[in-house]
Amino acid sequence: MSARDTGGGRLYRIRSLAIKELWQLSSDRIFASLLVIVPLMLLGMVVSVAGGESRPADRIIVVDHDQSAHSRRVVRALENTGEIVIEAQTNRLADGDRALFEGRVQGLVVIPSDYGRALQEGTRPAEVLLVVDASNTFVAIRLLGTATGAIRAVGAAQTLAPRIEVRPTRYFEVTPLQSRLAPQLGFLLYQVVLMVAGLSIVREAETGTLEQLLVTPLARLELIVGKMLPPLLLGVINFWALFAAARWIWDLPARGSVLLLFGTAVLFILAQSAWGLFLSSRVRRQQQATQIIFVQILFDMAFCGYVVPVENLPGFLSWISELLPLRHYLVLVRSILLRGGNFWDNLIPIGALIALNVVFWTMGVLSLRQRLQ
Amino acid sequence: MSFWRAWALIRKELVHIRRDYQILFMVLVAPAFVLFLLTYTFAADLEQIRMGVMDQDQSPSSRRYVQVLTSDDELLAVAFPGSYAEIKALLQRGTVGVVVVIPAGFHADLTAGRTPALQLVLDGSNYHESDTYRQNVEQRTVAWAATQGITGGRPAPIVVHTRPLYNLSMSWVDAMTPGLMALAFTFPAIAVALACARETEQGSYEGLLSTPIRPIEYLLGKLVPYLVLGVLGTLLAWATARWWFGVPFRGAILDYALLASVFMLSLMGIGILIGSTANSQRLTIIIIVLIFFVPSFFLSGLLIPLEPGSLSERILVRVLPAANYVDMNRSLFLKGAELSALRMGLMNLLWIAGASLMASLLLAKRRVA
Repeated sequence: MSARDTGGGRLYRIRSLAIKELWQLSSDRIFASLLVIVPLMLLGMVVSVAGGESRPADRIIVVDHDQSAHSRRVVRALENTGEIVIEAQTNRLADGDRALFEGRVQGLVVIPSDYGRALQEGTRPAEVLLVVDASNTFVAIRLLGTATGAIRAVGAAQTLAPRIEVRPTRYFEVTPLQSRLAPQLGFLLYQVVLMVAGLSIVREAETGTLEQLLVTPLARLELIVGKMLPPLLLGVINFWALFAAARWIWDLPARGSVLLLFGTAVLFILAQSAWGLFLSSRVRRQQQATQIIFVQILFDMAFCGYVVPVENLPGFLSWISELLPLRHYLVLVRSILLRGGNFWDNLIPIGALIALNVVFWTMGVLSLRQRLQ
Repeated sequence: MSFWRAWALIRKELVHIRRDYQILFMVLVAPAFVLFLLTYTFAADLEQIRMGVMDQDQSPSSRRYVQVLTSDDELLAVAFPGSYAEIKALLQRGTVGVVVVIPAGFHADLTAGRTPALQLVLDGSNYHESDTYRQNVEQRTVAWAATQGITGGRPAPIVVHTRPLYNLSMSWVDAMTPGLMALAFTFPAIAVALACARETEQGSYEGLLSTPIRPIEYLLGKLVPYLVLGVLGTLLAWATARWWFGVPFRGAILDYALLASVFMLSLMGIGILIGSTANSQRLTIIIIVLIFFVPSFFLSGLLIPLEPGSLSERILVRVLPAANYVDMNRSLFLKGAELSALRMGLMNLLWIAGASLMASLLLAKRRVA
């Protein structure tokens, strides 16, 4: 027991606990392998649904009552956007309506029978009807924009009058697939960490082994470090696995420093572990911990800025989103990987992650101390 | 099998649920509560775009143009870079998402009847966002140009009439709430999965094995109480959507209840399968999060619809209940679809439920033997 007060003894005890934790994790072999394999699998599935390298396409049906050279020009213009796939051309509106109702297409472009004549005579405007399925607002807005733009451009090309020209230039351009892939590096990374950390203490408490640990010469700090090493290690493994897959299989660009990203990922994993420790030492049973973690994950996904832009949330909701490490980490992933941002460009999100670490670790350690007394 | 034994098990489970308010919360209240939280993120319809302006023309026309662009506060001019290097830095830091460049000679072109050109510099690192920004600025520019008589004073040659069907005001809340229900409804299924895992972990399953109870009775004993309460929970969620958020409901309430029950059954089938195969609560929890949550968000067609007939779609609708339910529930709420239009999805859900319950039954038999 003379080792108790020396640094070497402390390291030795932490190591023993960490080994025990890792051994418990890996003794359940399915469990351990799932922790790494499933996130990778999900990454692959997201890619396959995003449709490989192609641009996202909305499917439409063209109901062409005109069948003239003019109406065919509209069809070609729609196709040339590269963002619209024409599923079928028909002259029966009922077919289109049915497909829209059943969700086989997202929109209809209806060209009335006098379209070509109106264009030729030039005395009245030619009319086109664009119907979109707005039960998915996200798609409806996108389709309205692309289709209206394409059709208007056909019109503009027909007039000789001067018009205005808008030339878009894109900096830091990525494919839509890469754009969807980047945030997954955050989502898939933290959920595993949060769950392992969140169940760490309460699991021992429920099975009664926490008391056993307390009678060993482990100090509290050692208990925390030993308990938090496995989620940290797991997070680091997952980070590199996900990053390598995204980088080498799906060509995610890395325009900034990968080491900087890794550093911020460690901050992010630490913050999630601390939050998990806090939850784990507050609840009585694993079931309760699970419930909270589930609501938390849904909450994170909704408020992290991926689904809705968080800057626009009203007052207190946008404050909540500032408290989520995920939100800041996603900003960092996008900035460092896709825009080549450096440390100075990202002072705010990095600072926020550090601040959240301080807060969460304080909360975690205090509530664990309370629990152990 | 004996109905009496199954009934005894159902009563045992109900006692558990009644004694534990957390389970009751998870099964009965969580669907409505989680839906409530999730929908609020979409209640903010206000979209503000932070924009930079580089005005190299500094003319009355360019100033008026910028004024018109920003008149309704949807586009906010927050930065005025003087060079392309500055523009790049602004985009890199994420201060703005788009910069409008008005080149010198804009006013002169406009007054001389030549085609004036504008440049939009966009942050391409977020593909969808940058596309929305481009469309937004382009539409405003065209509208402004029309007021300047740039189309030669003639009516625009092609008029595009748009009609957003099923959701006239294009409300995010109306479109997302029925889809988000798929996520909210996973909670009762999680509860039943944990109940199965707990039974194994705490060893009480062994105790049950020594009684004359058969696997199918055990399965029914777990499933029935949770299913009944879970369906009540979905009705509570319906009321929240309908009356708190004012989402229109154009279908029949009985169809909704039936659809929600079948969806719940398929989720619980998967839950029971996982809960009774995994040998700890921890393993159960982790598998469920990974297979329910992430895919339900990204692979269910909640935002981007699945491409019908593609390989990934055909696989997903047969393994992921949400991939069927998101679309069906939206159709029911907003399109007023009848059951006959939803039979494909119903069949898929029943297949998932049947396959997973069958599998847990077979596995339970093997455990007994």
